Amino acid sequence: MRRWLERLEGRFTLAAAAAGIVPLLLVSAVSWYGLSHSYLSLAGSRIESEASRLQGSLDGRLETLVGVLGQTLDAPGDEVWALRYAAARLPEVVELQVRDDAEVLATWSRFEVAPQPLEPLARPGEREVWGPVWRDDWGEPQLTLGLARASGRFLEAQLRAPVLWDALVELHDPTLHAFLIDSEGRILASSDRLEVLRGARAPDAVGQARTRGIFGYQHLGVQKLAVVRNVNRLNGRLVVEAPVGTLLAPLHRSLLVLFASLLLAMMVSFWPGWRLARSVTRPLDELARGAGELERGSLEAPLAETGPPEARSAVQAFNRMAAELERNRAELKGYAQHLEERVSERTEALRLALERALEADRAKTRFLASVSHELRTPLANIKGFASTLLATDVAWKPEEASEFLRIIEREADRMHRLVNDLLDLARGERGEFAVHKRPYPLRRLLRRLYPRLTRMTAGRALKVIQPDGEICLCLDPERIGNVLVNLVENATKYAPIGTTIELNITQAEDGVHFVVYDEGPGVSPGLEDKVFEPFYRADEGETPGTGLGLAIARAIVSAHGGKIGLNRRGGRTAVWFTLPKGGCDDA
Amino acid sequence: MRRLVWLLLPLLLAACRPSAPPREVRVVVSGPGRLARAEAFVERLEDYGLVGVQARICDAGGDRGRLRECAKGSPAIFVTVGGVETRTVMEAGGQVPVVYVGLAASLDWGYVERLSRPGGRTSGVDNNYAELSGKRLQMLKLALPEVDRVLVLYQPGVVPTPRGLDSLKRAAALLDIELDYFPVVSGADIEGLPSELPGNDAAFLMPSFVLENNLERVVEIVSEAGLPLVGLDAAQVHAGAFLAYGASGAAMGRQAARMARQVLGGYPISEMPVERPQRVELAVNQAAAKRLGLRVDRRLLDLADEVVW
Repeated sequence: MRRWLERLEGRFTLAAAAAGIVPLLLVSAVSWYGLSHSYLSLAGSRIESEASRLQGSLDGRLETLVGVLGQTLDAPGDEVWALRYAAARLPEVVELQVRDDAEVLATWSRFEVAPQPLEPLARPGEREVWGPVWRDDWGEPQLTLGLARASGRFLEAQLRAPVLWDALVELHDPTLHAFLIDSEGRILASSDRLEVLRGARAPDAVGQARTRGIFGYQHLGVQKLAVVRNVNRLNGRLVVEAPVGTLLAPLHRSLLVLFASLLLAMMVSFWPGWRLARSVTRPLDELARGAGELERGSLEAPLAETGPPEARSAVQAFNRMAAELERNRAELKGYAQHLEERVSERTEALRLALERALEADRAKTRFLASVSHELRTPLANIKGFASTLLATDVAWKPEEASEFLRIIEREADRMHRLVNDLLDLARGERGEFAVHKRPYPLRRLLRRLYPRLTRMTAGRALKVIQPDGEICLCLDPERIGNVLVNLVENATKYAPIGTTIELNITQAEDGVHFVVYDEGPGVSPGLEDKVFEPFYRADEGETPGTGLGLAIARAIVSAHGGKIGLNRRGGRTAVWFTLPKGGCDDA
Repeated sequence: MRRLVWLLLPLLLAACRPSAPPREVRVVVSGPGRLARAEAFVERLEDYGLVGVQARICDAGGDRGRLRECAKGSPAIFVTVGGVETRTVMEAGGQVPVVYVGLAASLDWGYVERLSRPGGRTSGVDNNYAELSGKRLQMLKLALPEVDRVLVLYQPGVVPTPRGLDSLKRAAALLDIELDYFPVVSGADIEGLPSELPGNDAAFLMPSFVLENNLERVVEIVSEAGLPLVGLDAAQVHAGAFLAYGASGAAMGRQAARMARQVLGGYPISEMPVERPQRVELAVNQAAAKRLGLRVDRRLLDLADEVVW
């Protein structure tokens, strides 16, 4: 029901309809009560009037009956024909007889040719006696009447009670029901002959009711209005009654038609009312829905602008507000997202800086450790051999002393180279690396370096591939020579014995490419650039060296405007560098 | 909106619903002799103004085949205007209530268990014709005291005949009248009537649909023989009979209309007592008496409810 009401969307209309129905019901109830009361009063008057008329009619009929039979009794002459005349005038007569104290003088029956004499009923001194009621084979109640005369003649009559009634009853109002009851409440005659023939009894309420005015009673669940009149001659009662429902039926029909008309009018008017209410409530529902969507996040689509102008204005204002909120929210979201990105970037930068700082710190530590180590070893040798030479308790032979001194000298040279390398590295990092470039033929450079390179690659083959023709480069031959020596020396360290170390020189558009190939294990992927950092040792010091060679090589190549790198090519490790062409023409 | 339509739809359907066909009250009549009862019944029933009830007379016009056709179907009520009509309808079967208008000797037909409670599907107004046969003979004797010999026209095999003849015989013995009998089975038998009339002082009709439906011919033959004819009711007196003492067919029709209304209102017919005629009337055809040269006792004329001059 509630769902149904909600679907109706016309709650205002329903409220209005309810507000209309309540007074309608009240007015109907009051009208029904008042009109019913008045109607029943009128009906009561009608019943009383009919009862009075019927009572008069019945009394008159009984008077006529008694009068005609009395005249018959008093008539002189042939009693049989007198009885026949009386019977002809009185259709309710079944049988008549005239008698005296001694014998039955005459009889006449409406149905029998030779009827049996009736039981004596009339008594001397009583002009009119009504005897017991009995029923014949057909179920009809038979009244018995006895008349007596002072002359000693008596008349007995048997009368059909229903016929007596039918002679009387012509009810003006077919809604009324009239019946005659005897002193015991049995129905002798009625406007409904069935209840007479069935021997029905009147309700006790009727038998005991007072004979003045109208009264109500209930019988078999039916409320009735009734009027009772005494019929003294028969010691009976005349009852005229009608069911209240039947009496009020015309009024009910009218009120029902009126109420149905009003209800129909309300239903008909409900439609435009419902449409009007819906045109107002639907925008309100839309606004509520939109507000809900805004509360949950964002409005999926602008609200439909329907309904009367005021409702449309409200929806339009809501849509504008929602659009403005949506814009602000988008901006805020963008700003927050940008801020996050920036924070993320900065955080990453800081992280990298920190890593670099830590790496630098670690490099410095490694550097110091390496420098200390590199310096301590030759220093220890120098100190050891110097102390040995200076020992006073040993007389060294001259050749032994010379050997010791050569070792001292070699170690000193080693220290000297290390210090020079360190100085070169420091200058390279500061960008103050001193290169003295001059036009120099490449072939000459290689020719000068070749014996040294060959010595260095002891146990490995050295293969030098160079382009045909002379190539002149503007370079510092000492430094570039150091680079080549450094690279071949480095390759020698890692290349297995018996393999070939190849120096490949090619000329390209952007310059001259120097590549030193070896068949060593190379470096792990991602560490190709690390090997050019000072003191970085890919094998963590398993091979001899200071870890400065490649770093110095990079500084030298950079000082010449070239590039240097390491990668794997065709299963071999390739350390390469490039030098720009040209410069010879200017010399 | 759809809901509203569904709510209004039953109302619209109820408004558009075709009204129920009227309930038929079929009055079955064997022939013209009993048409007056049927017309009185219909007239009174229509006076009641019952809504949705339509009375229709099905007149067989003396044809037994058509009479059986009239007894077919299922109207709300069959109304029969005599014994042959009642028997035809009852033999047709079914459960339709039957209200008869003027059936002689109700108990003898076997359709009614008791007069106060029929118990079956038929009830109505018993015309008392059988019981009143003796009384009619008495009225004839009062009108024409010189009547000593009467020819009784009767239909053998008709249910009320034994009861009526018994009543008649007892009355004849009391009234010192000699009875002669002329059985009629079909309309053709009536043509043998002229040879039977001589030697009688009057002709006497017993309840019979053959005689009633051929009354005109019977009246003609009896009149030609110069004899008075004693009929059943005032309608036969109007048709040429000299005297009748019996229930008015029209009155019985009105009486039965009241009963039919109660049956239509739902009263069970098995509980509805059989009724006696409201009035028993004496009718005398003084014109016929004059034509026949009869001197009617003046006192009887004073008794008569109706005198045809």
